[in-house]
Amino acid sequence: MRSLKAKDIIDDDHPLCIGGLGLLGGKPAVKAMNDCDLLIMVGTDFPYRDFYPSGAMTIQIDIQPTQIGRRHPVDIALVGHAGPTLAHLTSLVSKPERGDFLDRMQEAMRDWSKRQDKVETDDRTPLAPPRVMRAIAEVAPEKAIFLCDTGTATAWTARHLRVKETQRYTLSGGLASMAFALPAAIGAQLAYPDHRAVAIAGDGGFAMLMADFVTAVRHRLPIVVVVLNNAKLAFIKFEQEAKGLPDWGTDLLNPDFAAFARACGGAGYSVTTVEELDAALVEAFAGDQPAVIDVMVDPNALIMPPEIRLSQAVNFGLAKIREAFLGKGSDEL
Amino acid sequence: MTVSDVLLEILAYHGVRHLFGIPGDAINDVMDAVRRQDRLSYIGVRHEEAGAFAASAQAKLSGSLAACVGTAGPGAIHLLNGLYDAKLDHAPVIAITGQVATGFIGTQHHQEVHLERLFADVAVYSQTITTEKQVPDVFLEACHAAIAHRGVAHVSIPTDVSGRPASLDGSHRIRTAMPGRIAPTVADCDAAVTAIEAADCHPCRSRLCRCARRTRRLCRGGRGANRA
Repeated sequence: MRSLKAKDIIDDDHPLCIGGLGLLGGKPAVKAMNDCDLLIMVGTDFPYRDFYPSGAMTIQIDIQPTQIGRRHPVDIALVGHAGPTLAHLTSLVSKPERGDFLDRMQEAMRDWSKRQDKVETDDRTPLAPPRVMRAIAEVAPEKAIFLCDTGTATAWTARHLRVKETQRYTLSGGLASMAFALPAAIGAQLAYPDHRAVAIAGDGGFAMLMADFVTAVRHRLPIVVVVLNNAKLAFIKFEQEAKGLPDWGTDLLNPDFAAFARACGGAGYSVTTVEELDAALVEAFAGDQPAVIDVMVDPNALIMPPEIRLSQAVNFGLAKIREAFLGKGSDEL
Repeated sequence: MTVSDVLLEILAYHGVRHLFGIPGDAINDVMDAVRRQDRLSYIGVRHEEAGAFAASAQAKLSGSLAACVGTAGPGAIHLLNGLYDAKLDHAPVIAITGQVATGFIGTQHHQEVHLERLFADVAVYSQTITTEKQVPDVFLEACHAAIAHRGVAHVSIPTDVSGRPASLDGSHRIRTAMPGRIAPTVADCDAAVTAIEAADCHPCRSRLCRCARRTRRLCRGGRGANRA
């Protein structure tokens, strides 16, 4: 299992990968944490304590001694770089008898993937972001570098963007700052000219530093920016509702991002359906100029945690009732 | 050769290929040195934060040093959010900023901000150069700190220092910071191997099994034993 930052290192379709851990992760990782006998943490500083196992023995490998035991009690600390440490350990460990733990986890992963497939192939409009992730993954070149912004875009890429072995993925992991994706794509495209940098951002995150799209045009950087446009700071909306508060102050008035891209001298596409999205992606990747694909997505698409606590459900209900009294979102009730 | 030429030589030596930023009055000599060389490409951005993010993304993806530049005051302040991104994701980034002339430092001069204080939290190394005699040593320290600590290093160069003559002769040994391949001790590895080999490949969630596992760990003297 992997943290979100390790999505770059552990491929989603590796047979031994059981997906991400945490609120933006999946059920199989939660199951593995609950059932495991031994946890080996490699270079991770995964901060959410609730997701660590309660009874398992823990080995932690990190180059930074201060990081060891910071989030979770550790039985054996290995201070060193992950590469040589893992190489050393694997050379020493005799091949373990193969139990049914892995089988059960892979079974859980197959179930989870099936459920993911279902939401990723739903073509209804307004488009659900998981469908957009599927479309991007299908069209993006083998050598794509995905730069993910912060907000709901983080959650959708975490769960639904299947990053292949030849592709890269990074985000503003620790700071979780909005506005990262576009400038990161510029940096990535310059550093890896034979790759294709793909920024995946929300409308809020893209708008923050969108003036630098013209920098990509000026330097002829063929970046592709996919804007998940829900005219909302949707992750904040979820966080407000998860606290039982009504959605407030999160609505955005956006300019026409596709027209903006064209005004900068790049390509701009405004899409609402799967057919339009696929056509825009194909054209953008076939071209050699920077492009913005402004995708109208469902502002009410829900990001469900892998396991829902009762308090979360109650708070969400309270938020919806309060919103109804404020005359907001009554169609969602 | 000026202080700024030496800076660019050293950045290039440490693997920097792009310099993201915006020109400004306090970095005119730095930018002029950029114009006169071709080892680093200058990428003019529209907001310094974008430049810092671009450098941070390069450093995250490649693991090698990336760089951004901003002028004194607002230019430097604009870099901060992108630099915090590098800090929190352990990416080696060097930020070069201008500063008011040495004779004005500490006098609330136009565009003067206490940059070392401003960068103290985000950077593993933050230094203002006040004489060309600190060159190239401070630049080397900054690069090595960013690489070795996988974080942000910051050097601010007052506007009357960046154009001063400086040299980079053979007596200055330019050494890249050791990228580092450190492995744990044999004893620690042996303990880990024992734990891995003892781990159950058939763990079960039932209370009985959990109880049995805990007992086994107690006998082995694991964490459970320490707690008890």
